[in-house]
Order: sequence, then C-alpha cells, then structure tokens
Amino acid sequence: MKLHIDFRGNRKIALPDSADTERRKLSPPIPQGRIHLSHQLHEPLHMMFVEDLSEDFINHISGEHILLFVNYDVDAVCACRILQNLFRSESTLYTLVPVEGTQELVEAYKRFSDKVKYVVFINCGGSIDLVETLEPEPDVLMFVIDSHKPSDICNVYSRSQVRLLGKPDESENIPQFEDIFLDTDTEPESEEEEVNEEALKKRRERKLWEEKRNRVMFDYTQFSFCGRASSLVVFELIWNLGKDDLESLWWAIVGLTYQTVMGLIVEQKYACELQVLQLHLSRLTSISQNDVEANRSQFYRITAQKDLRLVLYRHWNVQASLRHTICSALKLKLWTVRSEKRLYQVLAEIGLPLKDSLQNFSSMDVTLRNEFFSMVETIANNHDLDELIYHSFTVSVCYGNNFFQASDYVYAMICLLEDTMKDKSRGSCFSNCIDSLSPTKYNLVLNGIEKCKKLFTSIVRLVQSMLDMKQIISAGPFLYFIINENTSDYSLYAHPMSLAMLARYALNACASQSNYRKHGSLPLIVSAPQSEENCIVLGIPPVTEYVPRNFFGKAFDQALETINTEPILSYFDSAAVRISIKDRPKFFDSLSTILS
Amino acid sequence: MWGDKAIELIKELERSTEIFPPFDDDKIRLILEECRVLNQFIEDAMNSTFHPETNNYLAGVKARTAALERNKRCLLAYQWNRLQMLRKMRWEFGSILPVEIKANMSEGEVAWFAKYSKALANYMKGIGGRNGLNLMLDMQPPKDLYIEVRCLKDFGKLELDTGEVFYLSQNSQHYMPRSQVENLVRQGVLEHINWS
Repeated sequence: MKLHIDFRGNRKIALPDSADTERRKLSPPIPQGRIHLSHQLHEPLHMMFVEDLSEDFINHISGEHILLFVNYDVDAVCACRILQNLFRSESTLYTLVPVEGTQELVEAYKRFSDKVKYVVFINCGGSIDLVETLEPEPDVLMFVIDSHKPSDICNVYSRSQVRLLGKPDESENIPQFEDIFLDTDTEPESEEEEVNEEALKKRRERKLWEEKRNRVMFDYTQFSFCGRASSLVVFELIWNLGKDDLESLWWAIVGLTYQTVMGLIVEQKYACELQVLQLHLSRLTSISQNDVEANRSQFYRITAQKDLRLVLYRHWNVQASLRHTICSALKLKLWTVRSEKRLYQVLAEIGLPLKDSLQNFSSMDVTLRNEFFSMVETIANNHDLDELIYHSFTVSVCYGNNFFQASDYVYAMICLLEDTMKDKSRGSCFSNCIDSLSPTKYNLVLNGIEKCKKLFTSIVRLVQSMLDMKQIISAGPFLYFIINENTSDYSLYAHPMSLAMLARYALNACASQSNYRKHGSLPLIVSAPQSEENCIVLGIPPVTEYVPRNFFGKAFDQALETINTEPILSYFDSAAVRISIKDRPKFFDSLSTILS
Repeated sequence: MWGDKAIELIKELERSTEIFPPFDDDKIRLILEECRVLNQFIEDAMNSTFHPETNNYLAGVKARTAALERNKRCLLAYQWNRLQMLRKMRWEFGSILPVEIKANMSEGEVAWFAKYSKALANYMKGIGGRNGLNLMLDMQPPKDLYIEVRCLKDFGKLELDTGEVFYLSQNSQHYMPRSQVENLVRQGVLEHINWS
C-alpha cells in the first residue's frame, strides 16, 4: 500500500509574525516545566501541549466568554458535561455548539465567534490546521482537547494561538520541529542569478531536506488512531482544581468505556486508565460518605467490579444479550441454524434454566441474578469466552434499583445521539444525550437502551442476511458493502457511530466465516444513505490489526482528490466522510487503485 | 354611641377578604358628620359663659373631645393601613396597578401612589452607578446569577450589558446572566436547562 503524500508547502515559515509577538505579551509567561520542550535551546520551538491544565487553562478562561465546540460522540459529550460544571463553578459564560464535521465547524465558527476571545474544541479540530481553516482574529486563543490523533503538525507547533490540552502520547511520534519547518531567513533568495557551487550545494541540501520532510510527514499522518479519552483529560483537570465529584467521575468512566466498547483503544490502555479511575473512586466515595450533608453526588453510587461484556444484559434477557454480543456470537457462530443447539448447551452449562434465560434479566430469580456473573465466569474458559469478562463499573442512580453498567450508558448515549428517526434534528439529539447524563434524568438512558436493543437486533439481522446473500464484496485491497434504501432499517445507520458498530460486527463475522477466510486480514468500508443525494462512507481497520489504527483517513483524502470532488462533510473521525451518492462508484474505484 | 362608626370602619377593613377593599366614602362622611356635631357642641360650650351649676359643660366637653380624638385616630389608622397595602402592591405589581384595584382607590390615594412611584423611581435612578439599579428585580436573591439555557429557535445576536455577544441559534446552549435571559425565556426563544 503506497500513498503519495503531498504535504502543504512552507506556509508558517515566516516566524515570528507580529500577531504572535503581541499575543505573547498578553498571555502570562509560561514556566518551562509545564511545556514540553522539544528543543531546549530555542525557546520558540516548543510544542504547545499544556500539561498542567489547572493553571494555564483556568487562568485564561475564568470569567471570560468561552466558545465551546463539541463533536457528536459519547466521549465528547461526557467531557463537555464535566467542563460545563467547571464553567458554572467559575461563573464563566459559555456558548456550546455541537458540530459534526470540518465544514460545519468552519460555518459555526463564523457565526458564533463574534467578540469571542477563547475557543475550546472537544474531540474536534485537533487534526485540522485550525489557524488556517478558521482564520481567527490574532488575539483569539484556542484550546484543543481532541482524542483524534495524529494532531495536525501546525497545531502542535503553533506558538501563539493553539494549545493542545493533555500529555503528548509517546506513540504519536511527533516529528521534530526542524524536520518540518524551515526558517525563511536561511533560504537563498537569489537562486537564479548566480549558479555557483555554494548555491548548488544549498539547493541539494534543501532538496534532501524536503524529501526527508515528506517522508517524516507521511509516517506521521499515515494512520489515524485514538488517543486518550477527552473526558479523562478534563476529569484530571478538575481533579487538579479540587472540584471533582462522583458525578464527573462517572462521566469520565463513561467516556473511557466508550473508547473500549467501540474498539478504539487497546485493552492494555483501558486497563491502565481503569486502575487510576478505581483509585479516584475509592477516594471520592470515602469523602462523600464522611460528608454529613446530603449532597448531589449521592445520586450516584458507583462500584468497580468485574463484569460481563454482554451487551445491555441487565436490561434485556440473557439469550438476546448472548446473541447480540460480538464476541459470544462469533465464538458460538450464533447466526447459523445449528448454533441454537450450541447456545442451549452453553446455557445449560451456565446452569440457567431456559425459561429464565428468555425472561427479562431484572425479573429473573434473585439467586440466579446474583450468581449470574460467577456462573458465566466458571464456564467462560471452556468455550473460549474469556473475552466476555472484564473490569468495569456499575452505577445505581437515585437510590432506586436502577443498575447500569458503564457500557449500558455508552450504548444508550450512542442511540440518543444518533436517533434521527422521527425527523429530529441532530442538535436536539445532542441536547437529549447531554441531558441523559444528569442523574435525575436517567429515564432518558432507559429510553436510549430501548432504542439500542432495536439497533442491535437490526445489526444482527442485517449481518446475517449479508453473509447469507454474500453481499460483502471484496474489491481487492478491501472489503465493502453498501446499505441502500431497500435495506430494512437503513436509516438507523445514517451516522458514524451506529454505522461503525455495524461495520465491526460485520467484519468480525466475516473473518470467522470460512468462505471469507482468505479475506480475513482485509479492512472494511461500509456506506449508507443519509438523504436522497448524500451518503456516508466509513472505513474500519482489519480485525488482525492489533492496535486499532486506521489508514482510511489519508486514503479517503487521496481518493477524493483523484476524482476531484470536495467531500460534503468530512467527519472529525477522518475515516468517515459524507459524499454525494453519484460520486460513490468513482470514489470506490479510485480507492481501490490507490490502495492496491 | 360616639365612635361606633369609626370602629366599624376599621373592623370592616380588617374583615374584608378582598385584596384591596373599596374606599368607604359613605361611612367616612358619616364619621365626619359626627365629628362636626361633636365639634359644634364644644365650640358652642366654649362661647358660652361657665357657671358651676347652670352651665357646667366641663364633663360634656371632655367626653366629646375624647370621642373626637378617637374618631381621628380611627380614620388615620384606616388610611394608613390602606396605604401600606398600596405600597406592598407597588413592589409586587409594579407602577401599573390592575384595574380592579384602581377602581377601589380614592382620589387622594391615587395621588399618593403616583408620588410614591415617582420617589421610588428617582431613588433607583440615583443608586447603582450610571444606569441605576432596578430594585424590583430579584426580590428574593436568586440561587445563581447565571443560568444554563438552550436555544429553541434562531434568534440572532444578543449583546449583553457587559459587551459579550451571544449568537442565539437553534440547539446551541449558553450560560449567561439570568437577568438578561428572563425575557427571552418568557418569549419562548430560550429554555432553561434544569439538570439537578
């Protein structure tokens, strides 16, 4: 697979411009310890990662009017909710605008940015060059909390206007400043006039340097992947400020769980973060127990425990949950006719009567309910279902008997966020979703869970029929399938998260099917209609890839360039794009040429 | 008996279930008439010559003066209590009173009310800097100075007193000063988000 990267020219070379210096005068000097210095000697070469968020960030924003752009994903909503609590306690005015893609962001920025000096981006904007795309006034300061990696190199090295919040990840491999940017002063201006040895040498050097830069940039931008969850970054921020409570901890947990549920991060990373969160949990619970006053945090009672990866099982019945969980469905091949027997065998080994397994989990016999986890745990080994068991958190809301696993929340929020069935606008879905995080509005979560059951049922049915009809087609370097308007429930998949869930299920099912086995290591592209003219195209990495990194972002850009079309909307997750339906065949053709 | 009507007037005011009972013109006229009669007796007595046996008016004058004083007190109490009610209503309803209440006011009360409103307005203009301070707002201190609102329809730009510009378009959320928002919430442009 070869991609040719045409990296943008030497913009940004002229340093320092007047606006930069002015800005530096306005903002307080930043002590060295807090900023990662990629180069100890040259002060202007540091990357703008703000690590000690509490001071640098808060000093700037408190009491100002903040413009907050939030992407449509669960992690972003959680992070945003934590930030809102912070802003409220700081009496900081803000305007919150949900945005879905780059084009929407540009438009919204134009509309909302009047007189605003501070802009915060949550899970958006990190991977586009903000200064160039948005053309902000020189005294606007932009803070970026984005888990989409790699960050745009211009954002990383912007000295004045852009600050990335959070620690730089070692796995990002951010290139050195001098490999990317060249100072204009050293550039020989009078190349044409005299062609002497000196100039030739310089030119050769420059050519070598350019080649190197292209190579470095290619390595850096080739794969897109998911960094640390934004909600965790924000939670750490408020923890440093001493404003953390059980509520925000739960939101951070949901944000992290989203990443693992969608398969965006590796298991180890999840386990690492989990331990930290468990420490936070024990600290906060002991505080809230000592607190005599009944405070708001007591709406939530969070427990950390080993749990089952069965989807929504507390709110569904065991059989349905087993059928709709990727890992159990794959291991038991639950989409074939013969699988029924296998399922019953597993249920028998678990020791769960058939009658109970078809009942709502909440109305199952109490002893069975309490022992369900240990019963599954004992047999998990025999059926290669170890994956089913993982560490997670459960919460009980509002003193009631409403137990939710963190992943229940995630699924419910995904469905609330992408519930555009009843002509609801995206914005009102976002409002619903952000409301559902409030403990008093947990019935919204229940509502979302019901929707999610429908989604899962539809996903399984769709994958089954696709496998039977062999609708997943191999285009050489990748597999693809297209959902068209004849497909039942096509409107469920009009947005990236549900479509990605479908794609993951389908690809996993594919890889375990014998007749697709030879394609097992291929990535998958899915496409679904969004309206009469437009469709969404989304790519996911192959199952065999251990680290979930995705090269489709770059490939999509290239393919669109080759067929000479602008995307209608490029999502912040670069491996998803909205294009016009009539461009789609051309787009797929050029993709397969690029990737082969 | 002297003073009966006056006490009746006060009792009626207290017994009344109306927010602001009508001004009792008739009864007041009767009381004043009584006062005039009492006064007439005292005046006549004063003009006559005193004689300890044939014209000893001391006891009569004393009793009538007491009755006169009592009537006066009751009348003043009646008026004072009514003005207290009006003052309370000025703070509750603002400078424009409902028609039902206006109909029950006497001429003097109307004049007093206008004067009171004017004095209050002057006072509010005089405090709190250049723009004055509206004491009528937030009679109960609000829990938060700022509230979270969600925009229900496209409204356009809103500039705050402090200079910040908010662009209100559908589905955006804002955290802004309560005082500036109240009107828009009433108009249905914004919706208060209650998270707790």
